[in-house]
Amino acid sequence: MALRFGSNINQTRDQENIRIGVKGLAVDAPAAAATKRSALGEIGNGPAVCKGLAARKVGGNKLNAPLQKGAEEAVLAIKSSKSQTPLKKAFSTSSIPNEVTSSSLIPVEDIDKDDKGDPFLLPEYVNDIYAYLREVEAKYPIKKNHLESQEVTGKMRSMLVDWLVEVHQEFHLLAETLYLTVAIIDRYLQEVHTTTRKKLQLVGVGAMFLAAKYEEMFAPEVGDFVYICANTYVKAEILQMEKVIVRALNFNFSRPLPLHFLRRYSKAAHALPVHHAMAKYLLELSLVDYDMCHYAPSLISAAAIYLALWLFQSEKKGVWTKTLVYYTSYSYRDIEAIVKKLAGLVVKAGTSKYQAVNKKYAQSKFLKISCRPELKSAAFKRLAAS
Amino acid sequence: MQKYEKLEKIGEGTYGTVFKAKNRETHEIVALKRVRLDDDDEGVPSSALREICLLKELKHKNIVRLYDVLHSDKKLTLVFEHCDQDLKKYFDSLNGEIDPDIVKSFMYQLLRGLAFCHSHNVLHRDLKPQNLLINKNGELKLADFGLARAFGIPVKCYSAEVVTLWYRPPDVLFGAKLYTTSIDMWSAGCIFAELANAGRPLFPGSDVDDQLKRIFKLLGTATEETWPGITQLPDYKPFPVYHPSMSFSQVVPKLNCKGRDLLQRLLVCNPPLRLPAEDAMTHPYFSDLSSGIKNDRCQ
Repeated sequence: MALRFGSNINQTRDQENIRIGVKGLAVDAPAAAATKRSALGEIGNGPAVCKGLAARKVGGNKLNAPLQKGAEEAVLAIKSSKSQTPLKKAFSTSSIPNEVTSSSLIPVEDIDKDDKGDPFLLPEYVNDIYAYLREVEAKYPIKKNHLESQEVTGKMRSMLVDWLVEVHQEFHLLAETLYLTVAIIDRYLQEVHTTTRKKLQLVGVGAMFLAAKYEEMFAPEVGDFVYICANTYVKAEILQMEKVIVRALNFNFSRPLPLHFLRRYSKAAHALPVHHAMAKYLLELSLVDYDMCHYAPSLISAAAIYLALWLFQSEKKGVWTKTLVYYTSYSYRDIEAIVKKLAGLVVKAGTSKYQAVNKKYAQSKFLKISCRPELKSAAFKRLAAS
Repeated sequence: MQKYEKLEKIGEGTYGTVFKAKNRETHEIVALKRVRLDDDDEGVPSSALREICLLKELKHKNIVRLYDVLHSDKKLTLVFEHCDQDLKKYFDSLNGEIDPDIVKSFMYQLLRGLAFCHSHNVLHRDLKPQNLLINKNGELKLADFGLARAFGIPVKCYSAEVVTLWYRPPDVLFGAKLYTTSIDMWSAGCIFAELANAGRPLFPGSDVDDQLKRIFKLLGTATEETWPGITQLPDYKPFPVYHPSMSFSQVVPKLNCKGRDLLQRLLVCNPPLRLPAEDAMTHPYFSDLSSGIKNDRCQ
């Protein structure tokens, strides 16, 4: 166990030892509880029970509050111009959205114009980079219904991702690592049709092991993953799975993540932290949902920022500005169906058996965004049902 | 390894041994980088993972081409295009003399490779003569992406333990973890001066303090006025106030004044003021560069 994971995991482990006696007692796990789980073989048989069995309470006080990041990120993302200057390349996109009526006289804004001298926003490269990310995104698509005629079902996938959301918090990993983990899982399952239910959790931890190596400065060690799986697998099995995954994916892990696009869109929208956090909540809900995983990252993040803006805006028209159309390249019509699906996920979230994302975003470091009254409004429910 | 016949060991990369080898079928000469995978270890090293993944997407004339990855149970073999030598070895063969046109051509190619990385959201983070390969046709290629990584926008904190000491920028020497493409531009400046001096390193420091001292002796000690925020860096400590005692014409006597101007725009302590690679490529220093090199477009 690496010391750098600090007292938190060690503490978890101690708790684990103390609590051995209560094994089998369903304990109500706090949002970021250590969520060890044995094989996913149990998944199909009654997830609620299995989860209760596996989830154990950890010391409630988190010593290292890791994710101020959420808010910082949002602040950085919106650190941009307030003035409105037309782009040289005038707004010429043919796809005129059907919702720009109120803003049709406002030109597209150059959202990078005030960033000269802020090297962390890379004004000189930002447009090239996003154009490039769109190319890469198109190169590695996830097909709709990619689990069709496989032993692994969409429900098992949801259960796995729901658990990984908790593991991700437990290990204090970057948001990128979670998105990349899920992207790796989907691309792997799409390539390798013979994954068994018993091996699915191994695919999940193998994917997170890889994603962390790619993204993190200090990745968890393989032993940490053995531990988090309650010793269901030994080290050699996880290392073997890593090899199988890199081979199946041919070492291509550069597919952009929804988060990469969201940051750009949040900037284009002058999003406040509350908008950005809401969009992240929506995107993470969508990670768990099998029916959403085939949408391109750039597209689903456009839908997420739209819905986040819509929720907090009293005048519901004019949310999708020309500037947003320009920087996302999507018209309202392109995202409309996905916006409604995202709203549907939120409405379902309260009663869903997959609660990890909901609980995570109920924490104050995520602005308690999943508890916002706006998500219960009649207008929102109408949108979800439409 | 049936497909390739190993010929000789070329060197050690960040994480593995490099061999010159021949494809048994096509007789093509390649470079093989071997990474051992031990079962009691942590599996594929993150440096290998990133290098493979990034190089698969970075296809450019001035970036070493990764042809293939061979994966067996015990080892990972990266198959690269072979280049005759690296810039360090080239320097060793020079006897202190270098053609100014070669300096210009190599510098331009270095900047072009770098601009391609940066516009494809990749930081190299370990530029130095040993990691620049050159071939018989006078082409220069960026190699060894073992410390490279993809960045998001806005950039996040990354490791401060990057870049070989002599080519490490002052912000990273002071422990900065938040850095961006400017990190590579400093290294490019150091390499430019080294090229112009036919292989004499510009700042051959012995440790972090000595490195900063050498930098400040040439450029003047950075202060809050010249570099707002410097005192807030994690490992900041005050240095004696040096006033530049040597002019750039003494530092790089053989470089013309346009070249010196470019060098001074790269060697800027305050990171945001360092010239980006794309802008550096359009600097007047390159205006008389042979069009053959300039138009030699990517891919």
